[in-house]
Amino acid sequence: MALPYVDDIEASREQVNALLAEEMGSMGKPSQKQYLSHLPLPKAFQFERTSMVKHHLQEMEEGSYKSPEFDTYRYDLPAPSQALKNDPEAWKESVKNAYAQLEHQRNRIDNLELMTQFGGQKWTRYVEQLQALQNRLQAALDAINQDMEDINWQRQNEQQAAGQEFYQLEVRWGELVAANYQLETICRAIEQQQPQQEEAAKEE
Amino acid sequence: MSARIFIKGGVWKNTEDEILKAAVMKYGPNQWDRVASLLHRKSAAQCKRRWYEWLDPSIKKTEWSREEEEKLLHLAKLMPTQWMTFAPMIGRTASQCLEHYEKLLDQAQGSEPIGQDDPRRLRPGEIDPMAHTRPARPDPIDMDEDEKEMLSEARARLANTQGKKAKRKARERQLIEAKRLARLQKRREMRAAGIELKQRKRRSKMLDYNAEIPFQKLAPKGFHDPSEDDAIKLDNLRLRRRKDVEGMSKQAMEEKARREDEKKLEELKKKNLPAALMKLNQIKGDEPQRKRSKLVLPAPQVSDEELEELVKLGQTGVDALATMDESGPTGALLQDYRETPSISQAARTPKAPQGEDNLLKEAKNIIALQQTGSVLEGGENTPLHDGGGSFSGVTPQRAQTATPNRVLSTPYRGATVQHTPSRHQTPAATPATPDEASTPLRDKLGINREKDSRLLTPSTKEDRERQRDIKASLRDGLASLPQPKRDYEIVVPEIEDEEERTDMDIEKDAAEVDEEEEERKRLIAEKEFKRQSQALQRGLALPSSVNEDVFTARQKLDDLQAADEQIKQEMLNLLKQDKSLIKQLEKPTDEEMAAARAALDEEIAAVRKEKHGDAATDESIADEYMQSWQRMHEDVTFVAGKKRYGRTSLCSKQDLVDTRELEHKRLVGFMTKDFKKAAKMEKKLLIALGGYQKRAAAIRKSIAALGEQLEQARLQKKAFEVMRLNELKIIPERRQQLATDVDAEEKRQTELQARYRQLAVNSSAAQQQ
Repeated sequence: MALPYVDDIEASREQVNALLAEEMGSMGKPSQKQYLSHLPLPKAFQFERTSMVKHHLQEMEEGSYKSPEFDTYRYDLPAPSQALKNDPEAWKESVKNAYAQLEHQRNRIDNLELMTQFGGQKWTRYVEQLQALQNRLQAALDAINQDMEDINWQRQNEQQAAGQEFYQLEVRWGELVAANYQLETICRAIEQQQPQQEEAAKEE
Repeated sequence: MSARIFIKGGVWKNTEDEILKAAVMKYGPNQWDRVASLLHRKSAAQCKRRWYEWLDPSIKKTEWSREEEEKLLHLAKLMPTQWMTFAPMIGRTASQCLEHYEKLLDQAQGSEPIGQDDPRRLRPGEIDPMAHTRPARPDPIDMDEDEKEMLSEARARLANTQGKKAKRKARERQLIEAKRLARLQKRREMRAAGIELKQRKRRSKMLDYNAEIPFQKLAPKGFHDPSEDDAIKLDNLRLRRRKDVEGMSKQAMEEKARREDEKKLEELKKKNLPAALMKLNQIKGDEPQRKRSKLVLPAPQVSDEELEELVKLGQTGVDALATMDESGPTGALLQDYRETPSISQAARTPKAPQGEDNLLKEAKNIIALQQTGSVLEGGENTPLHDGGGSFSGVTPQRAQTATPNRVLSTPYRGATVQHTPSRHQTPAATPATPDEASTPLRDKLGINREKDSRLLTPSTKEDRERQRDIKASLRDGLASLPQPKRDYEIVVPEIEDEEERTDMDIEKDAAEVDEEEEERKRLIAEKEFKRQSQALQRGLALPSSVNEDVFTARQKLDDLQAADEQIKQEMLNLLKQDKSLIKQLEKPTDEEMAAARAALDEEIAAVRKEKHGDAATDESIADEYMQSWQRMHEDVTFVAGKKRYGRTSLCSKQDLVDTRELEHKRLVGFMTKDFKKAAKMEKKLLIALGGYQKRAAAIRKSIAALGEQLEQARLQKKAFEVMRLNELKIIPERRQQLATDVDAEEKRQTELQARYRQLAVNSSAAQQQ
């Protein structure tokens, strides 16, 4: 386990990458987009599997989907067909239909008038609400980022404090090792000399 | 030894004036003793008079204007000898007023200002009593010793312009300023040394306008880079003179201009001597000495509108002439009065009557009033000049000069023409006869004879007869008027109400009376409303037109049909009345209304019982009626072919098709119109709201992005938290491991040390042996 603020990460990068690749490899092909496709869907999305939704989704994926045009059929006032040109009843139906469609048209105009009168205010309110939402989200994001930064700062501080300690210990260890090595060498040298000395003393 | 008598006073000298001015500047205009102590030859009172009557800068020393003179004479008349009182009203000093007044009176008498034997004239040895109002005498080149002494003393005393307190204050101010500068310098040095002292913040509730400078543009930080500057070349700098920097001096410029002027004048002399001389005179200031007074023109007596009206009148005369046959017998009845004869001579601007010199008259009047003898002598009042002003007001009266009207005066109508009366002429002496300078007589029909004044006063017998004839004819004409009616009808006001009111014990409040009146009116209105038809009472819709063709065409009617017809007639009447097409029918009384209502109720009950039986509720009956009404209503259509409404069941098939096709067409027309309107509105709305839509879309997009970022950030945060926990676990482990390593090494070192020691002991023992 590494302490990224203290240890040299570059050295272990390849090792880490290899680990990552291994982990991803265990899930299937890493390049596959929907690498979770073999897992079952959550219950909440089951409704999308109906044929109509499926069809639309497919269309959306292909990019051929178009939202339906505004239906203006209701504003048409068709006269009776050629065959019924002289049928008063057909004409009566036609006239009735015309009245109904005119009423639709009136409704549309009323709505447009309402829109002219209140549309500006309504849109302003809507935009304000959107703006507020955006601001809220931005604030939340900023807060999280701030938290993240705090955490990282903490980590850095802790790790650097520990790192200092480690360094001292390591240095101390190194010194000890070097000193021991020296001592050992000297001891060995003395030990080698001693028999000779003893021999010399005996000779004397 | 007797003390020499020394009288102070006499002519003021220039040095004295200067000292006085300086002293007043120092001591103010109240401490005249102090001021006088600087001037040996003047007393305090003299100094004061000199100041207030000559030296004070607010004294007007310009020439007297005419208005001022008029005021002076008038006020002198109103308040004789009270010079001090009215001098401020004129705006001069009292002595100036007195002097000028005397001068004016002298002028009025036509005498020299001050004659040889005038008592006002100073004789040698006398001291001028009005020395303080004379201009200062210039200083001689060699001044007296004592004068010099006085001057130097005054200089010394006046140079000391401040008192003790002022000096102390000044010293304190200087000290504060020095302290401030020292503090500033200290702060500057500290800052240069890198120590920023915090400036003490002044607490003030007010806004500190010095702290913030609007639109301040700070100089860029750091040292100034001189490479961007335009370097001044040293050569140029050396060549530069003061003239190059400052331009030509004023004196030099004037010199040059003068030289040029002289040159021009020389040239002009060669070309045009008179003009040059004139110019020379102008330069020398040889202009007329007398100043012209302000030009005051009287208001015009004939307005533009009146002139226009005259032109119009002339035009009507011309029109009349044009319609007339000149050769006819009526040719002599009209004459051309269009042109004003000899207008070219008469239209010269007449000389305005010269304003009589009121000033002179006033002065003469005053002299006359002054020279009256004792009242006890009796005799006539002192004759006074007319128009010389009066005692009626504070301000002198001014005569309005009027332009003499020569163009539009009526001949033979009295002496309205005023022309250039000479100065001494009284108005009564103005001749009444028109002369050649006045309006020429335009009498082409020869109505008025020369010197004719018949119109004013009948003189001859013939004239008198003529006048009598005119009077008689007038009377005849007026006799045909109807006699004036003189019968009056006298209406006695009704006072019944009053009596009733007086009978009451307590008089009612006006408000109560009003309320009662209101209530009464309201009740009446309600009653009126109740009497209207039900349709009006309930506010139902009225038919747009009244159909008169409801009657049957049949001639023979049975009783029921006749009754039906009657009902129809009544209905039509009611409808017409409601639409106020006809006059209000006779109002039914309340009883009649109640009777009718009862009869109707009875009828309704009978019909209901007969038709629906007892079980039917109101609602079911209403439904039934509604259905049948619907049926009938659908059955009625407008038949296009006949241009009237008719029953569907009675129409031919073709008629029906045509009618409905027509209606359909009409509806399609409406539809297209509405559709266009709606499309237009939509377009407008798109323009009006497009900006909002775009903005909303942009915000939505950014919200989506933000959401994603938020998700990512949350994940990251979680990851970091986990990492931290892990790391916290690792740190002690690693520390432990390192510590064990170090411990092991230390232990080993101890061992090695021990071993070494052993070896060393051994070896040394061996050596000793």
